[in-house]
Amino acid sequence: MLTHPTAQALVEGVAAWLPLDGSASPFALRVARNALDIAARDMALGPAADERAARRIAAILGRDDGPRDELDRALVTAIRAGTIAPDDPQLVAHLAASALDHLAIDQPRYLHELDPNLTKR
Amino acid sequence: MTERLDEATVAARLAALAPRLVADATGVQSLRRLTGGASMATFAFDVAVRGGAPVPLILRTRAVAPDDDSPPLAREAQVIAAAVAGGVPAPEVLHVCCPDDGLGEGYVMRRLTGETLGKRIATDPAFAPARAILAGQCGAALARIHATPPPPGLDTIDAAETLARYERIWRQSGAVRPAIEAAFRWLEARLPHTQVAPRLVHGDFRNGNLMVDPDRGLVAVLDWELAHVGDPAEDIGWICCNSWRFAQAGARVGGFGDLDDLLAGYVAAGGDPIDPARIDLWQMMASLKWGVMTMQMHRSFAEDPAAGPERGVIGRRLSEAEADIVALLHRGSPRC
Repeated sequence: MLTHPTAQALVEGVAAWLPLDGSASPFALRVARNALDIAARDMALGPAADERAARRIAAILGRDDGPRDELDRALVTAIRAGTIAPDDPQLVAHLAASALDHLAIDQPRYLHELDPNLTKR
Repeated sequence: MTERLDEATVAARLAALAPRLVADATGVQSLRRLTGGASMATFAFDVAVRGGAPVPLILRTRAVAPDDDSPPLAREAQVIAAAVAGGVPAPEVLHVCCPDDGLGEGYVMRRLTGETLGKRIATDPAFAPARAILAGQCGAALARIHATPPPPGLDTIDAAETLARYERIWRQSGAVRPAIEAAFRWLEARLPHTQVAPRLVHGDFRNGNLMVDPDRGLVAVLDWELAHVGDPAEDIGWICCNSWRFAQAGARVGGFGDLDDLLAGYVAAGGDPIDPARIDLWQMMASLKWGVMTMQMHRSFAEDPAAGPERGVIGRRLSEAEADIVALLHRGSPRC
């Protein structure tokens, strides 16, 4: 799950800010619409992305499938401890797939430089 | 306490100062406040001159009392003046404010003309002639910055120190993102074993902080507040970061040019050749720093959501840093 901010915090943030007196600038309104679009895509795409990520991480760590947040923590611990090299091919393939899933939620039009062969599904 | 000055007061005090800025000055006109972030205030104004054209200038001042760790503006002015003396295209500093000026902490520099919007520089057809020469001009400007003797008092920040600083900030954010963790460890394994000769480094050399003429290319290098002493490859890696290429694939330098052209301009202007592996290192560092900065934006959103969602949305740009990091992990780079 994407957490900084969460989809819920984005929606709450727009609600907490949205002025009712017509004082919002067109720029600020565009930003608010973008925030709501991100939250909506997160709700639509996030759960399936989390399931896919959890399966990949479980395979890398040789563990049972479980909640993604737990597996992410375990993966960070392994990278930090050096038991998985930062450029380990299986890790990089997982990170690439996750990065694409995250971009699909946060910035679908970002021109990334990920190798198409790396991210073929 | 820094006094918050209104425009009329600034205009009156600049008028008193004008004869020391420009010969035959008769007054100050067309003062206006430019957008300038929360902590700085930037004013554009013209000095009227007896029997001549008005002289366009900029006053840069601190709008709020400085943090403990913000360097004095006088030092920023010294850096710009040193760079100009070294042949770097940058705005000439005419005056560093003293308490008697009544303008607070600040300095006055020439106001130059050109485009600073990165997207326009990278994509507008009118800037095609500039784009053909801009990477080489950036290389020459960087060579001259890196050859400028640093004014006293600047921090020395090398790759190891940069990495340690950003890792501390990242840990405070509490975010769990394996790609960011991998970037820290990848960089840690590639820190230079031999000391890199420390040079004056601009610290924010990217498309967005360059002033560009559509035909003549580089007019000036702006925004010197992050200048420090460090690895000259830092400035090259920073302008190569994909986050400020404005979706121009294949133009690694700022979305407008090629790295080979920048490096050719760098060496032709007297710069020492730079190991490409160190540029890769600093490009990875650039995406990592940007990723960590998005978490600082998220933090200020979380502390005050009613201020608007903009900083929360920037928090979600961590994904772009992550994608750029993974692309660099996959591409690989030899160790320095």
